[in-house]
Amino acid sequence: MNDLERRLGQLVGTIDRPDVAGLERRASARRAARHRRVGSLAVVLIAVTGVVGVAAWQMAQDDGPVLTEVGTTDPTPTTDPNPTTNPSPTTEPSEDDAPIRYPVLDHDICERTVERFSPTDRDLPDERPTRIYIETSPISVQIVGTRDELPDRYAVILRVLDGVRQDAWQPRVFETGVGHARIDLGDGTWLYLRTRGLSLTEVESIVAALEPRPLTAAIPGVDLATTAGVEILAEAPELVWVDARSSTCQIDSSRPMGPQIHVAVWSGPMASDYAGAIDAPPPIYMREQSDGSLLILWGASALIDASMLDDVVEGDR
Amino acid sequence: MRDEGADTATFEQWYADAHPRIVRALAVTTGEPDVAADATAEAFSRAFERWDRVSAMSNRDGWVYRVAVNDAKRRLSRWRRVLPSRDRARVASDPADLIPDRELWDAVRSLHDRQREAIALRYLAGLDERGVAAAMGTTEGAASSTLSTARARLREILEEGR
Repeated sequence: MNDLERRLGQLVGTIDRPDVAGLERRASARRAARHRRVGSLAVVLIAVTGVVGVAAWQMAQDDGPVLTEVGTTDPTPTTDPNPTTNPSPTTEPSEDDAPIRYPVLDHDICERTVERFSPTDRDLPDERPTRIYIETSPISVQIVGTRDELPDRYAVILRVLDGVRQDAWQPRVFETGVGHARIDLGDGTWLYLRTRGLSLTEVESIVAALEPRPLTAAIPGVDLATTAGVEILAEAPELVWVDARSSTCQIDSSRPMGPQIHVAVWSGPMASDYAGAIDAPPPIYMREQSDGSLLILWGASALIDASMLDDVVEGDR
Repeated sequence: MRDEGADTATFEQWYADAHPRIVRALAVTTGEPDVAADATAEAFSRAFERWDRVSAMSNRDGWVYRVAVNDAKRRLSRWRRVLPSRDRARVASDPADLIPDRELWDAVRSLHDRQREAIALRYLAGLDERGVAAAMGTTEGAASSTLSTARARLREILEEGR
């Protein structure tokens, strides 16, 4: 062990340790508080604040998850044949279980459910029917557009500060009116744009006008050149820290718009806000896990129900 | 039949060994020793509550650390919403006996979050690189690389300060 390592080992002095009886008292207090809290989680998830709240209201009507697409080259917005207007979170914490960190819908359940939805199409691809993406990152969130055109036309710009290089995605607008782009800034950060109601030309114009702020800025998001024709309408007052791990149950990969079920685990102080804002096309079911993270399941209403939260298992990393 | 007395004894043994390492690592990760103390107690309380499952885990140190981190982030988030920054600075307590090496503490605080967490897990929590990777939810290679970069950066910072 060298001198630096020895100093690191002694960096923090002694911090008091409560006795086991103190831990038991905490557990009792937690159980009592949990009973009071049941029923309030749904309100928390919907009642997001500030800029994220703006996005929540708008993105709740969106039809595609954002973070599940990260790392793919073929984004596959969910098609919900029977969308509901209100998220239907469940609120019972999975008290008896260790928290799931790498969520995967049980393979058999995935198969059976998707077959039920599409009984004539039983061909399975060779690859695993799930995809897992891992993100742990602080993220800046900004809303770009013109005030008069909200809430129909806008872009959400995320700057992800995770130190990971990402492939760029050229600007693209889907039939649903949702568009996106991803830009590797080359400094260990990258931008993700999620747009609604904007044309491809407009998205490209915004991308061309992006001016990343220095990483030392209080909110290291972006500024916009005047050529963009839009302005930054709002930005989250602090970085959103999200630890999100998600996977998609999709049996027939030859139909990228086919039936899919998504599961995710979110943790971090703003996880519920972020999930509600960006990545929560209804219907959606949620459960608080024993470590406070949220287990989330969403997809076409014909495919999912709240009981499927019990079928989410720990996946391979 | 489950022997609760033996279970408690096993928990206490692990708790006595792991708590000092986890709480000190969390103090470094969060930069807030008070928050770390509370969050770590909460995490061990949860571990005690479901000890029959936690005791079977191959990396229960990593598990309890992750639960504590999540709890600490929630506390810090609430804290930041309630208190202006100048008051936070006043409330935070890090007396000299708790942080004896202020130069190194400041250097570690200036690292990127992931680097600081890797350092905390390796040198305060005492995890090996595989354990660091598991606790951070990354690969062993990535954890090793992060640690290497963090050490190099620390040396640079300390050198610049002289």
